Parts: sequence; structure tokens; C-alpha cells
Amino acid sequence: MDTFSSILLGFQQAVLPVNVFWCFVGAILGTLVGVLPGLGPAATVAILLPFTVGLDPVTSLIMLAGIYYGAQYGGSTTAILLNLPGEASSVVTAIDGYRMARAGRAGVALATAGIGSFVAGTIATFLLSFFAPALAEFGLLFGPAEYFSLMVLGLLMSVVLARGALSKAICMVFVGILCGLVGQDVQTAVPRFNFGLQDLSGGINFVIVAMGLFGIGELVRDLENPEARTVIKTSLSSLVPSREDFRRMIMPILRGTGIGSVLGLLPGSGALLAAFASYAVEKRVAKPPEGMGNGAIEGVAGPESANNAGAQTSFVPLLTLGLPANAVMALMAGALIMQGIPPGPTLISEHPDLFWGVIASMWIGNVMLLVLNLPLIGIWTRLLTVPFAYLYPAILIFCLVGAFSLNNSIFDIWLLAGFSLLGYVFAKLQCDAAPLIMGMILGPPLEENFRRAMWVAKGNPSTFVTRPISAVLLMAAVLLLILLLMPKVGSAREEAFQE
Amino acid sequence: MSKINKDVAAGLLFLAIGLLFLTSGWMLPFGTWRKIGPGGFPTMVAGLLALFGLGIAVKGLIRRSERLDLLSHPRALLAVLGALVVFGLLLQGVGLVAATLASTLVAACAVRPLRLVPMAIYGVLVGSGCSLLFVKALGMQAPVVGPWFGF
Repeated sequence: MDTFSSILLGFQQAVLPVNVFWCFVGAILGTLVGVLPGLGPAATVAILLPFTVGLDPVTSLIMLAGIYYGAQYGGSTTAILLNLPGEASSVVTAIDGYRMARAGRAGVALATAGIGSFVAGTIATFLLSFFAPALAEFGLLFGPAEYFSLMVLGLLMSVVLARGALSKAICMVFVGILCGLVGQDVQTAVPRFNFGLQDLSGGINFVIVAMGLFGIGELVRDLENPEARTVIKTSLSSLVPSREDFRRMIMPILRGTGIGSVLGLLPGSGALLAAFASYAVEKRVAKPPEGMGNGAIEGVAGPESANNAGAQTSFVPLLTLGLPANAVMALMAGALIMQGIPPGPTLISEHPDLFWGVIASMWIGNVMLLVLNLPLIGIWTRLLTVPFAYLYPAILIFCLVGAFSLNNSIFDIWLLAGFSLLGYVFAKLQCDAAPLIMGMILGPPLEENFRRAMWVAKGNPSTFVTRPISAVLLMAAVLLLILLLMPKVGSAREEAFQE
Repeated sequence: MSKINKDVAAGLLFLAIGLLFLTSGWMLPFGTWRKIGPGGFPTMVAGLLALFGLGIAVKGLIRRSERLDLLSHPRALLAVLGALVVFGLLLQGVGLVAATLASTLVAACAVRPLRLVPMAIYGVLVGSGCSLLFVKALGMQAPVVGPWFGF
């Protein structure tokens, strides 16, 4: 099937009323939770994921994708209006966006973010539809050894972008892998690591873990450090950028889209690196350079486009190779597995309606965000003035209802409490939770492929370095590790995360 | 006390988790390198985790790191965990509305000043809303008003 008719098939799926409806609900809910300070996209997706489980696979993934970019949009809204980036990738948006807001141009900054995200999303969606099938075909060449090496590389990349010390992040991956193996062995059906509890024999649900570590963990931290929030008032009349604004945002948007699309493809990087890279580029080409950091529209347009383009193309490794690029994509992978559709290179050929439907709906979702959110900015800002004291109990109840409804099991609520406590401790010990989720999702396929590769190679571990693709992937992993262990690069990485 | 900094604590925690999985998986067959059993892969990962954890702890003992202040503000954590546990204990007994009310009140203890009456009204509202949305509309398997009330 050629690309054109495939895209057509996708749009046929995406414009079904049921899909448009849930895409809309997802985008709105995502924005709603995403504008709540402190709750980033990973937390938002984790909290809302249980409510998508009952839908059919295409609709459920469309809604999840809607939640994801809604949450991202919500994150940039708080970055601009409150100087509180909801997530790491809107940290750079806050620099110039908040300055613009203080200068009375909050509406223009928000509109710029919306327009930039829309243009970037549109271009990235089309790039995705051209590159993904080719990559999936390449993925079909992969045997168990190649998959094992690919996942090792992916896990290592997630470690690079984690906050805190490298050794701790690696340990978090190990903890995640072990959590993922609880339940029973898939190959032999031997029960393992259930610690004598019947309720654990089906394994630990990753949604519970993500909810506890991200959602409730972040909630407790927000409660501990109540920050004074002064919302900048914005009037709807100032929403429309001037002709001069448009002229200044075009090039940054296109540059941001390019940077984001490429960086989003790499496993492990996603939107975060894209936003930082785009800001660095804009800073370099800006004339006069002093403008950047003092409320320059370029500083909003570039990074916002880059992070949206990156968010879009980061679906590529997941949907073509089954390799989630970051914690949010790991949650998407988990959702697909719960729907009985393991992500991998056969996904496009076996479920074309799902793949192309989701791609087309991303574009529709972007249109929706642009059309709906700009007029709704007033509502979002009003939501930000609701005291946190009234918001957090409702979020807690939402988590509890979601956790319970996964299996109608009270045991899952005890697990949620346990992982919330663990998440709190990890945060206090400066251990980032994202690598743990990556490990938990990739743990079972990692073991599976390792065992199959060893079986095929008759117990000879050299198979991982004698098969060429596997060897290249492992070499990349080793190079990355060496690079990180060099003191200069290591300290640069730590500096990058000091805000 | 002064020896326990963030690195030491994190290292010991990782070591403990590693050992927990090592001992729990002790009886699982390791298999051979050609046909790896259910215990093989987890044992390797848990072993690595324990080793890394030990390394982090030792490094933390030698090099100075930030002091650990695990429970400087226990209020928020205890209130949130309490709210989770109360909800779990009560849900099937008293139903969704009352469990939500109780859970909201416990959670409300996280912030000062504690406003009992508005939070109670708020809890009932959230509980009723959730009952309508999740139980009535989306078919969640939980009672709205539980058997402990004698219905």
C-alpha cells in the first residue's frame, strides 16, 4: 500500500465520530491535568490511562495520544503564565515566555506556542508517515539478539537523560526490570517473585507503578513545597500576534521542527533534548543576541515547535521497533500490551488501521488544540487560581478510582500506596523514576529475547557481537557509556540538569 | 547518623532490593546457558543491582554527599498515604461516596489551616460526581453506598 492511500485509510479511521470524540476528550483532559502545576505529561498519562482501557485499541491509543499532547500544551501554558514548567521540555519555554507574559504579551506567547506546535505537528506527522514504514521493514530483519541489543541501547539512552547520578539511574533500570518480572515466567509458566501473595501472581500493573512514582509522588512534593503562585492576567484581545510577530516566528518554527523531528527519532531523547537544542540554536542565530532571554518571541516559537515535533516523531521507534523512547512512550507501550497488541515491526502491516489512524488523529488533535485551546485559555488560567488545597484531594480520588478499576481489586490500592511511598523515598534520594518505568516495560521482552538469542546460538554469548546489526547497536551502547564516564562529559550532563 | 547521606541510603536501598530478589529467586532453576531457566535472567539482574548498590553505598561513605533529610515534612506524605489506605479499607464496606469523603478529609490534613466543613462538603461532592461518572455511567464494580450502612 502506498503512503497516500495509507494516510487516507488513517483519516477514515480518525474522523470516525467515536475517535474524534475521544481524541477531543483526551486532549481536553490532558490539558486540564497538564496545567496543574507539577504534573507533567508522564504523570498525566499515568493518571488518565486506566480510563482508556475499556475502549477499543485504536480509540484508546488515539485518546492516549490526545492526553499526551494536551498535557504538553498544558505544560507550556503554566511555563508561560506561572514560570512553572510542568515538565522538563518546557523549561526553556519558561525563560522567554514568562518574560513575555510579564510584559503584557501572555496571550501572544500562548498563541505562538500553539501555532508553533501546530505547524511542527503537521510537518512531523507527514515525516512520520514516510519514514515509519521503512524503519519497520528494517525492524523485520531483527532477530532476538538484535532486539536484545536494541533494548540495552534504549535503556542506556534513558539513563543518559535521567536526573541524578548515572549509577543510580542504572540501578533504577535494574529495579524496574525486576518489578516487570514479578508474576510468572512466560516460557515455563513457573510462578516467581510473588512473595507468597496470590494477588501478585498476575504481575504488577505498570499503571499502578507509574501512578505512584509520578502522579502521587509529584503531588506530595508539591504539597511539601508550596510555592507562591501569581497568575498573570491575560485578556483575550491580546491573543493575536502582530504581523511583525509572525515574521519573527516563521524561521524559528521551521528550524525547531527540523531539530525536533530528527532528535525525537533517537531512542531516549524525545522532546526534551529537542527543546534545549532549539533554544541553543535560536540563541546563536538571534540578532541582536541580547534579545534572547528577555522575552523574545523566537525563544518561545523555536523550543515549542521542537518539543512538539520531537513528541510526534518519538512515536516512530515505539510503533516501528517496539522501543519506547521515553517514560511516556513506555506508558503507551504498556497500554498497547494491555490491549493485546504488542508494539513491534509487524504492527504497521498487521494493524494498519491502528497505526495510520493514530497518525492521522495526531494531526486532528493538533488542529483541535489550536482551535479549542486558544479561546479556552481564560478557563485554564482561572483553573490555575483554584487553591491547590481543593485540587489535590480530587486528583488523589481520581488515581484511586483509576487504580481500583483496572482489576476491581483492593490489592492494587495497597500497591499504589506502596509505590507512592517508594516514589517519595526515591525522590528524596535523588533517583529519577523514569528509568524505572522504562526498565519495567522493557524487562520482560529483554529477558525473552536474551533467552531466545542464547537458545538460537546454542549457549554461546558471542552471538551478540558476531551478528552485525547487534554488534553495531551494542557498540553504540558501549561508546555512550564510555562517553558518559569521561569526567568532562559527565559534569556537563550534570550541569545541564541544574535548571 | 552523620555517615548516612543520600548516596549511602540509596546504595543500601538498591542492595536490599537486589538481595530480596536474589533470595526470593534462589529456588528457581537457573537452567543452562543454552536453555536458560526462569531463575537465570532475574538472578543476573538482581546480582548486578546488589553489586551496584554496594558500590554506591561504599562511594557514599568515602566521598561526602548531601545529608539525608528523609522526613523533614512528614505531614504531607502521611496525609496522602493515609488517604490512600483509608480509601482502600473503606471502599467495599461503606461505598464510593463515604470512602471518598473519608479519604478527602484525611488528605486535607496535609495543608494548614485545616478547613473541615468545606472539605467535607467538597468530599461529598467529589464522591457523588465520581459515583455518577464511574459507577453509573462507566460501570465500575464498586458500591455507591456500601453494605455497612445496612442496605
